[in-house]
Amino acid sequence: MRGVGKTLRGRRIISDVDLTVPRGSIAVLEGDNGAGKTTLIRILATVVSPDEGTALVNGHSVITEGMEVRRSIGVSFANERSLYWRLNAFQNLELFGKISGLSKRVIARRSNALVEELQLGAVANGQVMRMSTGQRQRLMVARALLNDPTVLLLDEPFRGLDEQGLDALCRLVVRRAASGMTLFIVAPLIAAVTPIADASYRIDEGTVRRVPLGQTEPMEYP
Amino acid sequence: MSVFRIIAATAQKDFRTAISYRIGFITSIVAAFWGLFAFRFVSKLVNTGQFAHSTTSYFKFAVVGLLFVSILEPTAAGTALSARNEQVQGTLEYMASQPVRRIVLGLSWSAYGFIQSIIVAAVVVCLIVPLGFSVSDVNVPVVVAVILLTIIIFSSIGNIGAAIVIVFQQGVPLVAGLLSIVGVISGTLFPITELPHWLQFFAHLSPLTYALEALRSALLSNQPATSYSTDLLVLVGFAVVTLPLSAVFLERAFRMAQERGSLATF
Repeated sequence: MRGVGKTLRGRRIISDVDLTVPRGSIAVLEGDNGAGKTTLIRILATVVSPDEGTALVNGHSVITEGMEVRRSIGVSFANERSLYWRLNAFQNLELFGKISGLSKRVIARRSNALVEELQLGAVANGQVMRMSTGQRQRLMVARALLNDPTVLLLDEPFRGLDEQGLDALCRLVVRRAASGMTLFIVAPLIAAVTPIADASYRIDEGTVRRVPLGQTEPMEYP
Repeated sequence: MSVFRIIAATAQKDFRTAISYRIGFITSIVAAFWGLFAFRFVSKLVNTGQFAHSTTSYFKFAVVGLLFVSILEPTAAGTALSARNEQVQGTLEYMASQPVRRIVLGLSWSAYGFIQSIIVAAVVVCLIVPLGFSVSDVNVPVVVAVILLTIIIFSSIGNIGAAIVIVFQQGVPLVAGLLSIVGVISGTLFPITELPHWLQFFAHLSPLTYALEALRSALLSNQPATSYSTDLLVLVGFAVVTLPLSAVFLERAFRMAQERGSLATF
């Protein structure tokens, strides 16, 4: 991203954002609620267009080459209602696998592997509406990985996760980065993932700055 | 190939969602049958000599009109409604992040409504045969052509409705209202010759007028092949204009929503 800015409903959400995530690395971005994290992810996922600046994903412009960008990314938004709640996990994965152009056999193989890797086996045949927030969170990550993207965008993927779920997700993130996938993760608090990150950033009132790993904002209590 | 696969996958998703509610399909058959059942008695009051197709009973005339509109309505209004449902459910934004052309997304929203209404119409036809509905010397190619062309036209109208929904978060009542007006002036329940002259002008601007004319001729009165050509040509013209137009509308609507950051709002 170079000089990216966005104003929504008269409010400046992000300003002059410069950010580069090298291939095969894990970058994490933290910031308070309303700081502009989700808007940044949405711009990279081509669902919000920037007002100014340049944003490239895998070398493709999010404005002029939206389809190429969408082919190369996997995205998990913070909104757990982006799943079809009356379908089960496998049916959700099947739908998005077909939309991505995967064959039935590949969808079945990858779905089974992801459900196992993210420890969703016990609930995968039940409707999504019966799942807990943490389980839905992991299912959204599984869906984002189904098309084996080169860039994975995760918006608050740790929300609602228990210790076991967090561990499973962190292991998955490290494995994917080791295999060459580029990961960009945003969350209000990233302390849990800084040990696995290659770079960390902080966003305050729409302005992004790089922060040394392990030196995210400390919490202070009166 | 992948276009049909995406449409089929979306229809399958909608089917799975629909059957998870169980009684929706049965109630739609009962509602459609009951509406036609009433017309069996209304037809006894109508002197068929008053309008064109006078060799046809009014019951048959009305059944063809009502059943055809019952197929088109879910196709057109259903597209806008699906877009609205995706918006309210929170899945629209995620769908927009997928590598799918916007027009394919729009067409996939109308698929299940169309398939379901065709099945409901087929079941209802079977149920109304004992009430006196029959067809003879059906011109199958013309019937298929009329249905396909009209579905393309009404899916496109639905896509324009979906585009309005994406931009304004409303639009379903607009499409439903438009369909209701089109249904009345296009000869669903009575020939357009019964309309005042100024309304007949608008009837000739409606693709449904030509579709119903061709369909009734092909199903009920065994007309020579040449008598359908004008109606079919007009329908082809409508399809050629409305489909690309709806693609442009949908593309623009998504672009506007991206600029306003409103894909996830409802």
